[in-house]
Amino acid sequence: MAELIKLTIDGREVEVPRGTTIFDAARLNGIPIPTLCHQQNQTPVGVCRVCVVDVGARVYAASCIRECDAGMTVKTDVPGVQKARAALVEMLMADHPAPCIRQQNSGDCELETLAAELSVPAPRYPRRLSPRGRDDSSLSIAVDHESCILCDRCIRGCDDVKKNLVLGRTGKGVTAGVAFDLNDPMGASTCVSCGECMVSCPTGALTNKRVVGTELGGGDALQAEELLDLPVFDGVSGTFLELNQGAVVKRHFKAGDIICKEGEFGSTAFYIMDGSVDVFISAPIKHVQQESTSSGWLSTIRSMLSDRDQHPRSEETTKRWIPIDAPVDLPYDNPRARLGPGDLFGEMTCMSFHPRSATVRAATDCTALEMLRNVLDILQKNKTFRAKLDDTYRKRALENHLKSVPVLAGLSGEFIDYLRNRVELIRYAPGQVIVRQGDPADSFYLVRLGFVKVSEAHPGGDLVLAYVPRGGYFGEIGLLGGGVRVATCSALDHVEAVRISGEDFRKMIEAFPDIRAELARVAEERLAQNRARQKTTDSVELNDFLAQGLMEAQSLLVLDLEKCTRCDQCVKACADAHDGVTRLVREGLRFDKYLVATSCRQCRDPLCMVGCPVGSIRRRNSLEVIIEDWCIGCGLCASNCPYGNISMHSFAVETADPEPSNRKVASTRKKATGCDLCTDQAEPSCVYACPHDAAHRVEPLTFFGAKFGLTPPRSVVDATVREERPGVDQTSK
Amino acid sequence: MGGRTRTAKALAQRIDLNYFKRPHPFRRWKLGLSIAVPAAALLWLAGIAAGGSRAPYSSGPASSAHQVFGDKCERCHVTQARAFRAHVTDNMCVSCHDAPQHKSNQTFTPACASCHLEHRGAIRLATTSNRECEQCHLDLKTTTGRRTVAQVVGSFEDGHPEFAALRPAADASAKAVDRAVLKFNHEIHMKPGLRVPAGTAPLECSTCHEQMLPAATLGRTRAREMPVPVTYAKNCASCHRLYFDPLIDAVVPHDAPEKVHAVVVRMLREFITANPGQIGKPDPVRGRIPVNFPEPMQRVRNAAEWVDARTATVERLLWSKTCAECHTISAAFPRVVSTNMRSGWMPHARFDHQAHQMASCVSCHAAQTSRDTADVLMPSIATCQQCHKPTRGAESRCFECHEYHDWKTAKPAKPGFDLQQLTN
Amino acid sequence: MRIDRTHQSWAVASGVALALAAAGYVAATASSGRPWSGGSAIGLAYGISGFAMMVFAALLAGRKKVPVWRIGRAQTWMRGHLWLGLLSFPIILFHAGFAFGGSLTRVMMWIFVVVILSGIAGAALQHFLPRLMFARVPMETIYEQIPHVRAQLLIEADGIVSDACGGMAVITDPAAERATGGASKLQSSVRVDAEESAPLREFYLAEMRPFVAEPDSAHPLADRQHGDQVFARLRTLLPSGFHTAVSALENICEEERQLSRQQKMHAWLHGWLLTHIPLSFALLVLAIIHIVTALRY
Repeated sequence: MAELIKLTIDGREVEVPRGTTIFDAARLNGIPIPTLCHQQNQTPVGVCRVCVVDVGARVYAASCIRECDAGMTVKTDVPGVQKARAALVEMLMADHPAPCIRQQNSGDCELETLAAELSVPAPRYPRRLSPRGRDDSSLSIAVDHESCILCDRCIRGCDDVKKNLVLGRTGKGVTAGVAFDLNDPMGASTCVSCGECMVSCPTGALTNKRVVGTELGGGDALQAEELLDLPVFDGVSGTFLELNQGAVVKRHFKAGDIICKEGEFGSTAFYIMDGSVDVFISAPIKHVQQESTSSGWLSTIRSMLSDRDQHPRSEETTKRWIPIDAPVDLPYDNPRARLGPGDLFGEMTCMSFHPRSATVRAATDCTALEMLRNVLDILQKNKTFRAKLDDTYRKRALENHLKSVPVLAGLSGEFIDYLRNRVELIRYAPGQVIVRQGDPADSFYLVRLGFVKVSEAHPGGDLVLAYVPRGGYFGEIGLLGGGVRVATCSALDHVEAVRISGEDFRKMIEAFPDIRAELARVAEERLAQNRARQKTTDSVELNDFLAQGLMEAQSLLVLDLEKCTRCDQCVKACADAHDGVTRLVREGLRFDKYLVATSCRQCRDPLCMVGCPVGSIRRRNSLEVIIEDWCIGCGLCASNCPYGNISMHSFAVETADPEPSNRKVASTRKKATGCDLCTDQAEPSCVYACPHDAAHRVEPLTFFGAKFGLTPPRSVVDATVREERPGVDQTSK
Repeated sequence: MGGRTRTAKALAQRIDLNYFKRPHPFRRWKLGLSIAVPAAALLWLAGIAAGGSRAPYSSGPASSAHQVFGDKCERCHVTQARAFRAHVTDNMCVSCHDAPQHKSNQTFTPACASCHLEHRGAIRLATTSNRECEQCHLDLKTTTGRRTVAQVVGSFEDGHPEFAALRPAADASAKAVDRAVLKFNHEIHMKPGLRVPAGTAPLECSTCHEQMLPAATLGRTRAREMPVPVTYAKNCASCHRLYFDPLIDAVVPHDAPEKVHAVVVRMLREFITANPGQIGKPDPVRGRIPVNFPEPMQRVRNAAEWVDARTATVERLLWSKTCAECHTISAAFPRVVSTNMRSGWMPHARFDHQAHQMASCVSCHAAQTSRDTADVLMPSIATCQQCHKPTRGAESRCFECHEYHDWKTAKPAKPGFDLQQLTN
Repeated sequence: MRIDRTHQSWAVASGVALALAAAGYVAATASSGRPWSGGSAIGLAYGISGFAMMVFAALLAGRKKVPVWRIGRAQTWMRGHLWLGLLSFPIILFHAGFAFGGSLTRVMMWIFVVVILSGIAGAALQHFLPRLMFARVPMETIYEQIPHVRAQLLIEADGIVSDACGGMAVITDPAAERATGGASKLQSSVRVDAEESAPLREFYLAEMRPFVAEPDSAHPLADRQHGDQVFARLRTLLPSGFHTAVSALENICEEERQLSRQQKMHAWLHGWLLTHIPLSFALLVLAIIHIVTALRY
C-alpha cells in the first residue's frame, strides 16, 4: 500500500495515497472539478486546462495531471480560478458552432454544458475564418472538425483504449486537428468503427450517425437508465447508451416465433434474458445430386439434393459438428441446439456483418435484447459481462467446442474438466496479430469466433497460407516443432480465440498420444501445403497476367481458343459430373490464345473462405476449395470471389417444417457451388470430356512460364498435386 | 476502352447458369433432324414395303434371264415356314430348270446359288468361277473311290492334264494313237498341186472337213463343236470313184459287200444280155492278173457262166484293191472292218471350231506332215494355252469347255408358271 | 479438332489399315475367279469392320451424352471418330466391291458419300474457324447466351446514356405502339445540361438504341467504318466530359457487331452438323436394315 499523504482541498482535510492527482483526490472526496480533456478511463494529458486549480504556486495547476503533495492547499473554486476557466471556455466557445450537433440531439455537449454552468456569455472573440470542414465518409460516425476542441480524448480512446491506432494529430497552429491514419477520410481509413472515439468525444465533433445504429423497430425501446439497470449493462457508459438509444431493444417472443433466419444478412446480436430458444439449420444438410429421370427417351436433367449418408462424397470431412454463430456448435446429424438465459448469439453477424448462420426460434416465451454492434462492443468490454460470458462458455460450450475439432475428439471428460478453468478466452480486433512468425511458441489456439489469417512474411509481401475459420485451430506447429512460430496469425475480423497454454497442450499430447499423432499428421500436411503455396517472388512485368489475377491462381482451366469449337462439352461434362449443376462457365477473359474459363482457380489467397458463417467452405489438403453440405446458401463466398467462380444455384426442395405442424413446405434453397477439380477422378471432367484437346487444367506459372521466359518456382512444380497426372498439363506442343 | 471494363466476374455473371439445359433452336433442329431424317428413310422403305415390294433390298440387278421377274422377289425368295431366312433354295431353281447333277459319285452337291451368283448385273448365270470347280477338283474325291479324271486340277493353266486323246493310256513312252481302221494320208492329200479330176476344186481342209455355217448351227451348241463328219459320198467319191469293170462305165455303191455283190451281179447280167458277143472273149482284166492266179481258167459257155466268172474276177479285184485302198478287208468273204472313226476327241469338254475359225486349221492341226491314220491330229493343250491363259486374255475358265450339269440325265421340267405369272 | 502433329500415330495407323485392306481386297479379287461379293467371307469381313467403324463413329454422339463416364478421353474418341470414320468409307467400298448395288444400298452409298463429305468439310471448318473466331471476335461469349447478353448490353447502354445525360425514360405509348407496329417510342426527360448532351441523347435514341435493341446487319452501325465516323463526330460535338460515355457506347456497338459475327461464324462452325448427324443416323438405321435383309435374302 502506497504511503498516504494529507492535503487540504477547498478547506477540507483529505488523505490520499501518494501519486494521486488533485483531480482524483477532489473527486474521491466529492468535490467536483470541471474538465473537458480528461476522462477517467484514459491517461490524463492536461491539454484543455479547464481543470485548473490554485495550489498556491505561481501559476494555476491542471488538476488532472498534478499529483498531490503532502500539506498542499488546493482551492478549486476561488474567483481567480473561475475567471481563468471562464476565459478558457469562452475562447473554446468562440470557435464552437453552438449549439453543436450533439447539443441539438441530446443536449449533452460537454463544452456547451460547461459554458452554461460557468455562465460564459456569448464569446467576445470573432470566429475563425477558415472552416475546418466535416467528414461524412464513415457510415457510422459523423466527423465535424468545427466542433473539435482538440482535447485528444478520441485519440486516446482509439489508440490507448482500443489500440486501434487509427486516430492521431495532424497540423500545427490553426490547422491542427485530429486525423484518421494519414489524414484519410474516415470511411477510407483503417477505422473499424468501434465507436470508442465517439463515446470519448465531449462535443459534437464525433457523433453517432445512426446508420449502423438505426432505430431497431418494434420491441421495447429502452432508455439509457433502464439499460443501466440491467445487470448486463452494469458499468457501461451511460453516454454511450444514450447516444445509441434505439440501438438496443428488448423483444418478447412467443414460443415458435422465428427470431432470425439462416442466410439472412443482419447486424444485430441477441442476448437472451429469459426463456429459451432453439437454434437449428433448416437448409437441408445436403449437396446437389442429379436425379436420373429417364422418362421417355428424352431424359431431363433434374438436380436434387442428397445428403452425406445417401451419397457420400469422398472429399468431405466427417465432421460431426457444424460451427455456428452462437456459443454452441450444432451436431451434424441433427443440427439443432437450445440456448437459455444468459446466452448471446449473433455475435459474428453483428460484429462482422456475416450472414446469419442458423435459424433461431423461440422455444418458450422469451425475452431477448437485440443490439447493434456498438452496444455489443461495449457490452463485451464490460468486465462483468465478459466474465459471465466466459463462465457460460467454460461451462457449456468448451467441451462441445473442443470435441467439435476432429483431432481433439478423443479428449476425455476429465481432461476437459481440467482445462475448463485453465483456458483463456481472448478477443482480438480486426488486424490484430495473435502470433507472430519467429516468436517463441507458447500456446495453442482454437478459434471461437471470426477468422484468423495465417500468413508468411516474404520479401515481396505477406503470403496468405490459410484462413482459419470458427472451429479451426492454430499454433500447434510451433509447439510440436521447434518451438518457434512458423507463420503469423492475425485476426481478420473480430476474433475470439480460446488459448490453451503450452504447458496444458503438452500435457494433453502426453496424455493422448492419438491426438498427438493426428496433430502431427495435420501439422505435417499443413507444412507441406505451405511449401506448395509458396509463390515465386519474381515480379513479372506482365500487366494482363497480373491484372487478371492469374499469378494468384494455382490451377487454371484454360481453353485453347484456336482448338475450341465452342461445343460446350466441358460445361455439359461439368454439369453431369456435378449432378446437373455446372460449376464452370465458358466465359471470361482471354489470356494469350486461351480463354480463362470461369471455374475455381484455387487461389493462393482464397478470399472466398473469408466470412463463411458456418465454415462450410474450406480448402482440402490438396488444392481444391470444397463447399460442405451444411452450406446455408448465404452467398457470401460467391460475392467474395473476385472472379465470379462460385455460383449460387437455386433448388426447389421440400423441407419438413419441423415445428409446429411438421408439414412439408416447398421452398427454394440456394447452395454455393464451385469447382472441386473432380478430385475423385483422375482428371477434371471438363478436361476429360473435351473432344478437341482444347481444355486444360494448368498451373499458370508453369504453363505460361515457358511463354514468357519465367522459371516456374521449384516448390510449386514439386508439390502441385496435379502435375503427376499424365496428359493434364501438357503444354501446347 | 473508356468506361467499360471487362472483368471475369462481370462476364461470368452475365450468363444464365442453366442455359445449357434449355433447348436452343440449333440443338432442337439437330435433334429434330436426327429423328426426322432416319424416320424419312424408314418411311421410304415402309412405303415401298407397303406396296408389297422388296425391291430395295436387292443387292444388284438380276441376271438377264431373270429380269423377267422384275421386282417380284418372292418368285424365288420364298420364306420357309418359321424361318427367318428367305434364301433361294435349289427347289426354287429346279422348279424351272431341271439341271442334273454332275456325277453320281460326287462327294457333295453345292447349292445352285453358290455357283450361279445372282444379282450381279445382266450376266449369264452359267458363267461360274473356277473356284466352284476347285472345290472338288483341287483334290478330287469320289464316293466310289474311282476317278475318271485327274485328281488335282487347279485351272486350265494349273494342273490341267493333257487332253485325253493325246494322253497315252498306259505306256508313257508310247505315242497317242488314232485307232481308226482306215487308211488315210493327210500329207498326200494336202500336197500342193495335187492332181484332181477335172471339174473338182483343188483340195483344202474344208473340202473334206466341212464347217457348218452359223445359220445352220444356231442354238445347236453340239454342232458348233466339231466339223461335219467326213463321209465317202460327200468328201471322197468325187475323186475316188468305185469302178469295178472296164467294160462297164459304172461304179458300185459305197456300201456293205453283200449289197456291192448284188449290184455287181446285176450289172454284169445286164451287160451280157446286151452284149452276148462278149462271151468267150478273153478277159482283159484277167490278163492283168498275175499268173499265179489261184483258180484255173475255165471255159465260158453261156451268159450265166460268164457272169459267174466275170463276177469272181471283178470282185476279187474290187475287194483286194479298190476297197482295200482305204478299208481293211477281212480275209474270208469280203467283210469291211469297221472304220471306227471318232467323232469327238474330248470326252469331258467341248470345243467350238466355229469360235476359232479365224485361225488357220494347220496352225493347230499338224495335218500336212501326217502320213498315217494313227497320227492324232488334235492339238496339244499347250497349243490352246498359247492364247488361253490369263495374261493373253482369252478366257480360260473351266466353264468355257466343261459343263457341270450332266445333261444326259436331264429330265424335262414341269412348267411352274403360266405366262400371266411371269409377266405380271 | 485441330489436325496437328499429335494425330500422326492415328494417321499412320489409318494409312496402314487402309493399305492392308486395299491389299487384301486386291489379293482377294485377283485370286478367286468368282465375282466380288459382299456376302463372301472376306466381303463380310470388310462389311463388318466397316460397319463397326461407322458404329464407333456414331457412338461419339452417345459418348458426348455421358461426358463423365470414364470410358476413354473424349479427345481419343474424337480422334477415333475422325480417322475411323474416314477409314470406314474405303472399307465399305471394298465391301461393296465398288458397286452401288440395289436401290437400298445405292441410297446408303450416296448418304455415306454425303456424310463423309460433310464430315470432312466440318473437320476443315473446325480446323480453321476457331482461329478466325479467336482473331475476329475478341468479345465472344457463349453462343446460346448471345440474346441474353444483348439484352444486358441494352440495359447497360441505357444506363450509360441516362447517367451521362441525366435520365432517359422509355415510354411506351400503347397507341403509338400500335401505329408504328411495335416500335417503342422513346422520350428523354429534361435536364439542366440538356443542351450539351442533346447530340448524344438524340444519336442514342435515333440511331444506336434500335441497333442495340435489334442488331441488324442492314443497320448503318453494323458497319464498323460508319460507326467509327459517327462516334468521331459525336466526340467533336460533345464536351470532353461525355467522352467516356461515348467510348463506352462505341465499345458496346463493337461488342454487338462482334456478337453478330460470332453468330455467323458459329453457324458455320456447327451448321454442317445438321447435315452430318441426321444423315449419319439415317445411314446407321439403313445399315441395320441392310444387314437384316442381306442376311434374309
